[in-house]
Amino acid sequence: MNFLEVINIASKFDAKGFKQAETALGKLASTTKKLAGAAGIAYGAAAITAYGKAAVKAFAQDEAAALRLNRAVENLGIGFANPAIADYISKLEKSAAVADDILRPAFQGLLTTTGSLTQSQKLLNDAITISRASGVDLATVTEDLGKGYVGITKGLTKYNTGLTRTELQSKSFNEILGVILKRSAGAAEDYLSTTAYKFDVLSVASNNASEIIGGGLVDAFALIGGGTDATDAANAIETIATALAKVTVQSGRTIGVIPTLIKNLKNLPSQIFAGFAGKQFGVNIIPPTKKEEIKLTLTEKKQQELLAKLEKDSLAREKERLALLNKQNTAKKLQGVIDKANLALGKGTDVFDLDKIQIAAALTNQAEQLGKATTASQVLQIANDTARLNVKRSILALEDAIASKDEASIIAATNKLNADLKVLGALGQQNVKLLDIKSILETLMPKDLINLTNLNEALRLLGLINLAATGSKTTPAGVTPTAVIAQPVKPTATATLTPSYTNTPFGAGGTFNLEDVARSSLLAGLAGGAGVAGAVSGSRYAAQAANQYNISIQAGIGDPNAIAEAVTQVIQDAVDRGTLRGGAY
Amino acid sequence: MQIELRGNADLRKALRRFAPDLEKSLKIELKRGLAPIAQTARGYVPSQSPLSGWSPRSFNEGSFPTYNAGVIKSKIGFSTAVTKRNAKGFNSMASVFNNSRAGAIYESAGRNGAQGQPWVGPKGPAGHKYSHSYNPKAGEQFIGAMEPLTGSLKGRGRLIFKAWSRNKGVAEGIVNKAISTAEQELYRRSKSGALGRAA
Repeated sequence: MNFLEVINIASKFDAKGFKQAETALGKLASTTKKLAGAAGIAYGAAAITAYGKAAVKAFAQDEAAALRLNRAVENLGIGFANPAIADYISKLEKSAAVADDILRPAFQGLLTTTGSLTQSQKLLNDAITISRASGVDLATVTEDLGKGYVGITKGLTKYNTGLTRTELQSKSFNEILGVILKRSAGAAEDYLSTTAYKFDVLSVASNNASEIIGGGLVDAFALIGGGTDATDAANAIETIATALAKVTVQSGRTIGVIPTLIKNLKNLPSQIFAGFAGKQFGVNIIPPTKKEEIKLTLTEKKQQELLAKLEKDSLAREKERLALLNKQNTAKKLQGVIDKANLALGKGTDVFDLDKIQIAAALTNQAEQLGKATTASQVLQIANDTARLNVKRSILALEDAIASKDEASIIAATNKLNADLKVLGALGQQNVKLLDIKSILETLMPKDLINLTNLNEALRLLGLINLAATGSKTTPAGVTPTAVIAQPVKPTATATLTPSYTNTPFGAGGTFNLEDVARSSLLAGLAGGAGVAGAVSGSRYAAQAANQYNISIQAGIGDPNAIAEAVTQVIQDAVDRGTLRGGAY
Repeated sequence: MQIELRGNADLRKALRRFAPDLEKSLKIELKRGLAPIAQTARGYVPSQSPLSGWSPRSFNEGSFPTYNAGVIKSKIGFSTAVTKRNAKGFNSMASVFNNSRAGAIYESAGRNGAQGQPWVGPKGPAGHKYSHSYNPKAGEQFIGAMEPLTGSLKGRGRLIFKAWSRNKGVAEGIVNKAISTAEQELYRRSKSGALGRAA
């Protein structure tokens, strides 16, 4: 990229490279001069042709733009307003020094977008102000304003509004336009005092002159061609061009009058030109008098009514658009909430693992079987498991909420899930204080499967069974038979059952206490040099081992079914109490 | 021998081939006129960056050139060679240039308006015609921190254009007179038949 800042001194036009073209042009001019003869052609043939073509083209473009605008206005049902619009465009062209062939498409675009005459005029005036202030061309500004009017505000960023993209999307078009106009205030008035404005005025006047001359040429050549429109003019031009190649010097003299004529054309009615040219070619090209088109004109009251209806329709469309926009925004908001919830759900599913929960539940039971947790790591483990269960519960709640499509429920469930995930994440990092997870533990209300109370109760029942079956009076220490006694085995007359229950602590002194077993194992482990975690684990296993029952049944001769039922009942009772371990069942 | 010289390139070529002494004299005269411009322009280069954030830094940060007074000064100069023809077909006999990126920025910032380029933000439309800064007023603040532009008949700027303006046409007069003298002398010699092709 070139960043050169340079002051050039003694600059001259370098003809090298242009020399060949210049020579060719010189030859052409020379030939034309010879053709023109004594009358001479002040301009070269190329100059006349180029000017004529440009003028005709300018006229054609201007005419086409005017027709398009007329059609657009008629399609809106206010064709009667065309003269007023043309007058407005003409005045605006003079006051703002913007060519009408720029103003017409701009106005047409705004009119078709807004559907409102007054709104279009206001926006066009605003667009000129903004164009002057920003330096962006008028066509781009009107296009941006038109899009902004229907809610597409992306193009408005280039006007230094100072608004963020979000603000542009959320603010109304009128608010954004107000900001832009505030920043552009005075720019149009300032521009009127600049040299550029004066050049614009000259440029507009020159273009208009070209269009007028072009219009005259089209009319004249069309009449020569025997018609009234540009196609006839084109045919005539072709014919004349062919003839020019063959005409004599006399013809050149005749045609040579044209440049002078063109010079004065602006001040002459086209009929004079047509009459003159017709005389030269010996044909009558006086334009036929155009019949005035008789159109039904609307009364002023009717026109006012139509204009009012147009404005009313425009407002109604704007209201509909805003309503639709609100609806879309609401739908987007709900979708956003659901997306957010789904995201949280995905995260929750990732961390949830059924196996872990099951293992955790078992560990929790073991910890409670030992009494109370004795180390921080155990407490933390319990808290982790609880948090996982909470996550699972929140996931289910959120799924239900999403299914119900209730926004409030979804938000609440999402928040709950996020909170649970946060707790779980904190536990995973083990940065949580024990006191903080106390609340989590309190939410957990597991069934108290094994503790001293229900263990004693089980032993008491076993003792009763033993008494009922064998008459033995050996009962565990501290166990007192109660009045309500479940009869697990109902012996029949033909069956002799002698179930005896042996447990390791039982055998020796008849005293049994799992807490003592665990405690003694823990102390032994610690005394043996094991770590705290190892000693705790060992004590847990010791208690499990102590809790195993070896059931031996001495069955005599009797009813096999009765024996089988008795055995099944005993085992079932053990299962119900939660005291059955290992592969016995 | 009748000769016709079209443009600067032809004149210099003719001088170089048929009157080297005239070309040498012309170069000396051009230097006499333009060297003070370049020297004055170097004096207008601030020793410190006008904005603290434009100063050189130790780490690489984008492609916007940082301010370095030494580099800017070293890239200000003049040339007595004929320039290349521009798109419109013109070339120049001599030139004064400011040929560093930072120097060009310091020279020209604000020429298109005190607001700088239209701001579109980092996610706006691409292109060098827009400001993509996070700061909507970055261009305005950048331009505001510098001294105002100085206008001259050759354009507006802060370094070489300012120097050209302060020179009040002295250099241009010297250059034009030198060219005119060399051209006339060449024609005179050609008419008198004193021209001979240089080795």
